[in-house]
Amino acid sequence: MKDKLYRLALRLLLNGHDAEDVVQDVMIRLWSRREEWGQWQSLEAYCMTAVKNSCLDRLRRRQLPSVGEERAQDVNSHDKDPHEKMIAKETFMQIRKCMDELPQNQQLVMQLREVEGFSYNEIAEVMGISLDQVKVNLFRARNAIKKSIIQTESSWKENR
Amino acid sequence: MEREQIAQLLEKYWQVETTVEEEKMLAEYFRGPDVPAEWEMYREIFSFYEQERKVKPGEGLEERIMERVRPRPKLWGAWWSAAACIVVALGISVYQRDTPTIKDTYDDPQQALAAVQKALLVASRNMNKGLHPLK
Amino acid sequence: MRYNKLLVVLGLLLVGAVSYAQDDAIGKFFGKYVEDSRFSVVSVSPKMFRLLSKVNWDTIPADLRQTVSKLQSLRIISTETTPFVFYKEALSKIDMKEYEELISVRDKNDNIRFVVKESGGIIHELLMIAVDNDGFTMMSFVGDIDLDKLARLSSSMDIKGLEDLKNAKRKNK
Repeated sequence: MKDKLYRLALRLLLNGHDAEDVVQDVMIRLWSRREEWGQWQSLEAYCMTAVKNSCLDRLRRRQLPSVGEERAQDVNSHDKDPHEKMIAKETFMQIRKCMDELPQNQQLVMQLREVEGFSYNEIAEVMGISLDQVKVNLFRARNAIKKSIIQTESSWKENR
Repeated sequence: MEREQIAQLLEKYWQVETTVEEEKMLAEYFRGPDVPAEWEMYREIFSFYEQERKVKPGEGLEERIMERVRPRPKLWGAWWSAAACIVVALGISVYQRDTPTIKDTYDDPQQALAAVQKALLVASRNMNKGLHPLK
Repeated sequence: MRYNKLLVVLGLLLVGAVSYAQDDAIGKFFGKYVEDSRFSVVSVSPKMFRLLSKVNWDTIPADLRQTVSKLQSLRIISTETTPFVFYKEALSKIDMKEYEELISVRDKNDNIRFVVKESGGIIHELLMIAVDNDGFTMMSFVGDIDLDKLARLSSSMDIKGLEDLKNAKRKNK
């Protein structure tokens, strides 16, 4: 679970250290409320929500846009020729760029659905929005990504 | 999986009409080798999410959290996670569990009292046997 | 799943803080054989002990009264079938980290052991495990137990009392 929490925090804060701090704080808070665990439906939902809120707080308090972006992984390169590898990386970067430029709610829904596989209900609970809003955000985000990729592809095709 | 089925799923996917299971099927298809050229870009999309899923926090975050929650002596190490596995079996609800009670033998307090007395005397006698052997 | 590992570790700490009233040595043994027809079982629960205080105490000697009033529960299990086998089994279920051996008597024909659970200078539980050729008995007293008082109980008994006791024991078997 801490991995999911970390990824969520990272998506919002774009900084690995800050993300780890948030996860740590949330887990400790979780522990301090262990008396209530039996009453809760889902500890995971509690933590994801807490991470989201904690991150949003931090973002509000940040005066400047996030400095020192840290991305934890490299592009997974398959067995392709160098030209294809470059294209793959380009596409990858394009997708990431598109994701990062999406409105925050769309980013969150994408993170929770595409990366973590949460159900619509779970997403609604963590984000504090309605089921319909979850779907609307997902629709817009998915199609934005699709559109940006198609454009990239066609531009590549033209340049060859 | 058939191309036709995938095409249908993809359509549903863009319309946000797929279930989590169906999305998993799509992801699995796009991980495989036989993706037609016109769907190559979709493969990139699903691959991107998979990459994202692999992101993990730095080493030792877990340890750091546990240290804050409850500092423990270093030598516990493997014992700790072995014991933890036992607890998984018990489940988190353990602290809410009802302790099973054995039924009272007597309904009448008078009888119960008599039994208690007898038991005490037996125990007492045996204790004395141990303390002052008769032999 | 990392989720479980963390939670489980927290859970372990949680478990450590919980005490199982019925999960002690006799509780486990009891639980196993309470329905078994080879065994006779006596159980006086804390609830029943509370009712006892309303009973007629006049005929009961003072020291006995005092001892009873401080008890919370009593459980006895006994059998005539393969007594030594069950005796060994019962002993094996006692966690010697929680119990301390008090007295043991071992002669040719019988074996009696007393173990206690103590904390803060108070004996919370007294376990008697006894076996001879005729049978095996395990008795658990839970409460605030005064060993001296308990030992003195039988020495103050008259002969008739002892006779009654012997008869009662035979009847219970």
